[in-house]
Amino acid sequence: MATAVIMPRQGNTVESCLLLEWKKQKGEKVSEGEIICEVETDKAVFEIEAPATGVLLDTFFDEGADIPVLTNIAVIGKTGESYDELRPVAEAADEAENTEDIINTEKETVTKDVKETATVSKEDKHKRGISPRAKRLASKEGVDVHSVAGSGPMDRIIERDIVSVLNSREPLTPAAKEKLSQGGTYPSGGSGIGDRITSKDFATSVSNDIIREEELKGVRKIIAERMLASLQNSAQLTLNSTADVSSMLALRETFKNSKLDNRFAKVNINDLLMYAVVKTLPKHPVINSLMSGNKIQYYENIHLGFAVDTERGLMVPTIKNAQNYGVLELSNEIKRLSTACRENKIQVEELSGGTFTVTNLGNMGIDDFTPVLNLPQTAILGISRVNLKPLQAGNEIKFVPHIGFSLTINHQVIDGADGARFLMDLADAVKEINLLIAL
Amino acid sequence: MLNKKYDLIIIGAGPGGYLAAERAGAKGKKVLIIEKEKTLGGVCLNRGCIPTKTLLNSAKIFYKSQNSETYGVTVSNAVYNFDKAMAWKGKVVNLMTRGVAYQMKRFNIDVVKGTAKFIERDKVSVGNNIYEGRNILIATGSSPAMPPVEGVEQPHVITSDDVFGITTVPESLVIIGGGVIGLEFASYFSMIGAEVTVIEMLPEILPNVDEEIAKAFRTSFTGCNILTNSQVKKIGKDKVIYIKEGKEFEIKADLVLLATGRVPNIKDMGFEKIGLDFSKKGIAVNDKMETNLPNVYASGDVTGKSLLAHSAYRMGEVAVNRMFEGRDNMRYNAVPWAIYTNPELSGVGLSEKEARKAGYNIKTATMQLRANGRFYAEHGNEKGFCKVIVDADTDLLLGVFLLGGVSSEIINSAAVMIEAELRVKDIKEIIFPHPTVSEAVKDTLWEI
Repeated sequence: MATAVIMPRQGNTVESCLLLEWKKQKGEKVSEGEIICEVETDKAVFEIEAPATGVLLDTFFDEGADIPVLTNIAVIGKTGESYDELRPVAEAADEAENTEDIINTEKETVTKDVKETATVSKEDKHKRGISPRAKRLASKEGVDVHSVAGSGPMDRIIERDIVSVLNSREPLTPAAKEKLSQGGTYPSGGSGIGDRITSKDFATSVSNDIIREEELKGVRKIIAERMLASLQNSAQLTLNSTADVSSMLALRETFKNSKLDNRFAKVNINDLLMYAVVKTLPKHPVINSLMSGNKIQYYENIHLGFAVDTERGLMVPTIKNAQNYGVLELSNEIKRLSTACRENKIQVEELSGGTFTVTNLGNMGIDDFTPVLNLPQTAILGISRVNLKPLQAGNEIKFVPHIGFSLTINHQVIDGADGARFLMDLADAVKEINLLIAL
Repeated sequence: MLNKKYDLIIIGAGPGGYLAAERAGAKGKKVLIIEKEKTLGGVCLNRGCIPTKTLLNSAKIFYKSQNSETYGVTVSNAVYNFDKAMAWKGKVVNLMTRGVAYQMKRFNIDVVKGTAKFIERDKVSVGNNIYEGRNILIATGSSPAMPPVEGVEQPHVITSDDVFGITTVPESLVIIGGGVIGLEFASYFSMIGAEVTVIEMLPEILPNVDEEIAKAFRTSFTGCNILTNSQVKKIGKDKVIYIKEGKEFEIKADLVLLATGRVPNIKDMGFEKIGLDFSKKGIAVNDKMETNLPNVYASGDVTGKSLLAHSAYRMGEVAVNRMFEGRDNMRYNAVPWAIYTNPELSGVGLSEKEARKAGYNIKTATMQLRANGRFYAEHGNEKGFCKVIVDADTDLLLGVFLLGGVSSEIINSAAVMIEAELRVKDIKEIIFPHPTVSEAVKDTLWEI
C-alpha cells in the first residue's frame, strides 16, 4: 500500500505552504526520514521528510505551487503500485474542468492539442488558456502572450487575438522579434527605418532596464501584504525623541571589561534598551495593547517582538513573557532568536503573539524614521543611532550622547500624549539604567 | 527692404540643405534657400564628391590602359590630357549644379544668393532684406582646416578648395594628412604621373577604419609614398621638412596639398546673438537634428557629425520630417562610406576595435577577394579583402569593410543589412547575383 506525503500543518494560523523545491524527483528511491522537499510558510522554510521507504511514485505539485496544509503532495510506494486514491481531489477536478472547457470551445482542436494545452494550464494556473495555433504564431512573431487579451470563450487567447496584435504594432526587425520572444517588453516606439522597432529600442526602453523579475512570494509576499494593510487600516502617528545614553554606554564598557563576570561581555546597547523597554511598558498598559475589531485588548504579560534583518527579508521573532527575563537572559534570548531567524530555524510559534515591537536601525546610521505598526499591535518603537546633543550645563555647553527614539502609535487607540509619556519614562529608564537593573 | 515669411528657411545649398528644400517643397511648404556661392550644390558638387570622382575616373582609365597586359590588352601612347580631363569635370559639375537649380524651381523654392545672418531666432537677413521662417535649418557646411605649420601661406600650398584651379600636373606633390581627402588626391595625382608623398602624423592612415583593413589598404597603395608617424615641421619654397622618430627629413615638393581635416562654418552668421549652442566642433544637435533653440535645426558638416554628403542628405530629411511630421530620427550606425582611390575602400558600421571598445563580444572573418570569381577575372592579383564583424551574442552584423575594385557600389548592401538588423542567419538566406564581387559579403559571413 502506497504512503501519501502530506503537507503538514505548521502552526495554527498557517493555511497553505509554498512548495520551494523538490529535493527528490519522481521515480527516485527514498528512505524514511530523508528530506524530499522544502516548503515555505509566511514565516519560515521547512523541510519535509519521507514518511516511508520506497520509490517516490509521483509528485502532485510543481515547484512554486501554493498548497493547502494537510493536502497530499506526493506518494511513496513500490513501482507499479496504484495510488490514484491518494491524488489530491482539488487538482483532479481542476484538470478535468480545463480539459472539458477546451473540448467544448475549440472544435477544430485535435486531441493532441488538448493534451498540450492541458499541460500548459497545469504548469501555470495563473495563465489563461491559449490555443496551440495562437501560441505558435505568438512565439514565431515574438508576441508576449501575457499582455494579449483573449477573445475566445473563457477569455482564451486564439489566433485572431495574436493577428490583431501584429496588425496594430510597428513592424519589428528580425533581431527585435528575437528580443521580444526572449521575454523583452514591447518598446514604446521604434527608432529604425520607417519607425521599425530595432533591438536597440529594447535596450533603451525603461522597462527593459529591469535586470530581474521575481514573484512576490513567501516572506516577501507576507511583508508586502502586511505593511500595506497596516498603513491602510490604522491611524499611524510617529513621535520622535532622544534619551541620554551616557550611563548606558558606560555600563556597556563595564560589562565588556568586567573581570568579575565575563558572561556580561556580550550584552550590548540594544539588549539594554530592550530591557529598559520591558521595564517601562508595565506603567503604560495601552502601549502594550492590541486592537481587535472594536476592542482594545490589554495584556498582563509583555510579548516583545523585535525586527531581524535576514536574507529572505524582515522577520519579527517574539520573546514571550519578556518581563520575566533578567538583563543577561534577555540578551541571550535576543541572540538565540536572531540567529534562528537568520539560519531559517525559527519556529512558527516564535514568530507570532507579540504585544509590542522594537525595530533598531541605529547601527545603520539612521537618525530617525517612521516605523510601521505590526498590526494588531498599537505601538512600535524605532531606535536610531547615538548622536552628540548640546546641553546647557550652567554657563557651559556640554555635548552628551543621545539615542533617537521613534514611536509609532495607532492614534485610534493611543493619544499623542500617552505616547509622549511612554517616551519620557523610557528616556528616564535609559538614563538611569544602573538603577533600573538594580531594582 | 523686403520682408517675407516662409515655412522653412535653409541656410546653405549643399547636400545638407538642397535635399531638405526638395523634401519640404514636395510637402507643399514655402521654402527659402540661401546660398553664398554662385552655384548651388555646396562643396560636394563644386569642389568635393563629384569633381574628385570625375577626375579619379579619368585617371583610372589612364592607369588601366597602361596596366592591362595581364588581361590581354596592350595600349601604346596612352595620354592623360589634363586640360581635357578638367574640362570634362567642369561639364559634369555644371550639369549637376544646374540639376539642383532645376529641382529648386520644380518645387517652387525661392533661392537667394548672399550671406545669411541671424537677426532673431526666426529672422535672417541677406543684405538689406529680412526673411522670417517658422523653421530654420542651418546647413552651412565646413571648410578645410589650416594646420599650424610654418609656411602654409605660400602660393604653392593649397587645400582641396584650390586644387581644381591648378593648370598643370606637378612633378612632385606632398599631401599633408592621410585621411580620405588626402588619399583620394594621392591616388589621383600618382596615377597621372606626379611623384606623391603622403605625410600622416598618426601610426596608421584612416584612423576610423578597421586597423587590419587600413594596413592592407596602405600596402596596396603602390603608386605613392606614405609616411606614417611623421610630423611636418615646416613647408619651404620647394620642400617639406618633417620629423619621423625624432629625426628630421626633407622632401621635394612643387606643390603641397593640405588635407588635415575640415572645420564647421560657424563664423559671422549671428549664431552667438540668438544663443545657439555651438562650439568649434560644430552646432550641437540631437538625433532629431534639433538645436538648443526651438524650431532651429542643423544638418550636414556644420553639426560636426559624420562629415559625409549622404549623412547630410539624411540629416536634412530628418530635420524636415521632424518639422512637419513630428517623426523620424538620425541613425549613424549604418552610414556607409567609400574612398574612391585605386583600389577603392569602403565600409559601414563598427571596426573591430570600436566594437570591442563598445563592449560587444565579437566574431570576425576576413576573406581575400581573390577567391571571388568576378574579382579575380577583372582584378587578377590586385589586393582585395572583405572583413566582417559580428556580435557573437545576437548574431547581428556590426561592421563590413571592403577593399578592392569598385567596392563603393557594393557596400550599401551591407548598410541595408545593418540598418534592417538582419542576423547573420537571415543574411545567409539572401540571394546574391553571380558572378559579382558582392557575393564576397555573404561568403565572408559563412566563414564566421
